[in-house]
Amino acid sequence: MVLVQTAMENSEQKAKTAETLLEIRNLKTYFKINGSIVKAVDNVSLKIINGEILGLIGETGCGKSVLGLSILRLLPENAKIEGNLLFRGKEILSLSKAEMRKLRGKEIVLIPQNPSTSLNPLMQIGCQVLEAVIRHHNLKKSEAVSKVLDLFSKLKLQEPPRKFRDFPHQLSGGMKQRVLMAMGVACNPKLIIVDEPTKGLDAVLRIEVVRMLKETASAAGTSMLLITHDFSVAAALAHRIAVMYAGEIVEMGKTAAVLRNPRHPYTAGLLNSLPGKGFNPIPGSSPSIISLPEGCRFHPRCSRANMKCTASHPELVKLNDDHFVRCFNVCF
Amino acid sequence: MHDTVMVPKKFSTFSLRTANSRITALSALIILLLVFTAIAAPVIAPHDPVAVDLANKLKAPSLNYPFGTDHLGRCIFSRVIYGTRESLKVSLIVVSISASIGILLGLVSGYFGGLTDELIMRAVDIMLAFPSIILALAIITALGPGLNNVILALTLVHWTSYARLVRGEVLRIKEKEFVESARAMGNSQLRIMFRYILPNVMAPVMVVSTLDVAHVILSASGLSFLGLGAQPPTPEWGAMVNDGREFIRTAPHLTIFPGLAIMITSLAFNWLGDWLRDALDPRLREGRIE
Repeated sequence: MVLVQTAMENSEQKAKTAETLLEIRNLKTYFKINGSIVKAVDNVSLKIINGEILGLIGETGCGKSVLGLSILRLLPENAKIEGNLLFRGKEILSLSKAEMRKLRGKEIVLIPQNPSTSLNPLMQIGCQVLEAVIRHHNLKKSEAVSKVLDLFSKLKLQEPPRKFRDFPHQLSGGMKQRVLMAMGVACNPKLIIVDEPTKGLDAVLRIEVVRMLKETASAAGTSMLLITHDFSVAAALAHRIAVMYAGEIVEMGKTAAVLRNPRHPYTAGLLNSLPGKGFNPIPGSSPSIISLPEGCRFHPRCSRANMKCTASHPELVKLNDDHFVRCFNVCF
Repeated sequence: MHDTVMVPKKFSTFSLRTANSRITALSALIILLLVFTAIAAPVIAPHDPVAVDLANKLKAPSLNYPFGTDHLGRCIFSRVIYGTRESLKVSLIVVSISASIGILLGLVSGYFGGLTDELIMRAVDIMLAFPSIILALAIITALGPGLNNVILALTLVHWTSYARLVRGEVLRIKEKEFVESARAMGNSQLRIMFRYILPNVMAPVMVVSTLDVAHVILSASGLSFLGLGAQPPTPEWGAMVNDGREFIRTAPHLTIFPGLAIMITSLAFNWLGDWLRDALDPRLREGRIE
């Protein structure tokens, strides 16, 4: 909780001088699969200001990774993106392919979710980091190499010159994660999208990764979109939290507010299902986004659901300054 | 007993303890010897391979003529040695050109998909619809006999298998996460194709091209045997077998020695290809450790 409070203070300090880095307005990412339409991201709006870490929380398959990929326009061809993605006031969706390539890796970086399979197995890891540095900074090779070695030692990779020449299969999972982070921060991006940074890592590494992310973000003032299903990671890092369910944001607010007083029954349910809070699972399972329930998407699993919830779909309403909930029967 | 222990035997295939690895070593040795022979042919060969000496025709193997002489009195040993050059030259040129074309088209086809893929793969289908040797025959008949036309015809026939193989592998590799993360880092399409995807599809290509060398040597010799390849007096194994055909009852050494050369060479490349396939396939490697 101490971590949460410091994170809160940071965000308040920054909010005074902050400007919006990324604004997502009514983003819809639909996939066409065998004639049916899968609404992976449905009408999502959110803002990330400079230096802010936004935690995006949700179950598997709720569309949080697709949201991350939508920002970089890295989706397969059967995907359709609608809405507005404003990065520093510029519309990402109308950029050309070449402009998009300049954005990727330099301004916006994605740290992918599987360190073990996200590095080219036939390329020395140093070269993989080097590529990005050379391309986006126009540095000489020797300068870029020393920059990469610098990064490696900052991220506590032992013997940087030797690691530089190692191939991915020679590294452990934690080291690969660090290499990916080095790739991510190499070009001083404005926004880092971190996709499940702690997936498949053990408890010790998880703490290590969280610590490194925190250092990276605060040192360079980088904004982060932290995609995770781990509340403890989000609590330790994020200034604000957005909870996603079946392609929609159901609750969004400051980390402390959301964690202490969850207003949406789903958020409350998620928190109650944590091992430290009684281990009470939410009944049922999240709906297939191919055939969504009528009305509120959460109502079949919700203990507070009534007639209204089955009939009509709730909108995201503002509770107070910076806390939004999509529910008719808000918890208090 | 200690073989059942799970130890990383990365290079276990290099030990000479198993029958399999002895064959591999042998085939590697044969291929090295062939390459050496081809380069040093003028030094090794005791006689001029095209020098006619009718006084000494159809001689049985002797110290002066280790493999005997043919119907024109030419030294068969020298001709077999010089024939190594022709066979290796044809097979290496055909394999490298057809592999390059096939890899490039397969890469483009698999990576871009859609209409490009459709066009290239239908072209491959059309090529595969003909029996390859008949197609090669037709091309040579149209262009006239000669080793250069054999090279051209075999290249036109052989690129298809590489294109198919590479396309399939590219389809598999391009869905991998490291390709997506390369894209997320802002790499260009060309860079992703050649630095990220291509190296990762090369393993099966190496296997197929090694096996293909054996195949091409056989095809080229076959075409020369039919009189469509090397023209006299070029020393070429297939053509030599054809020369000896008439004398097979009275002087079998005319056909036996070039025939053996063809057999041993293609066998060596086949064995090497088999070993490469086993060595590059991690599933088979695990299977052997157990």
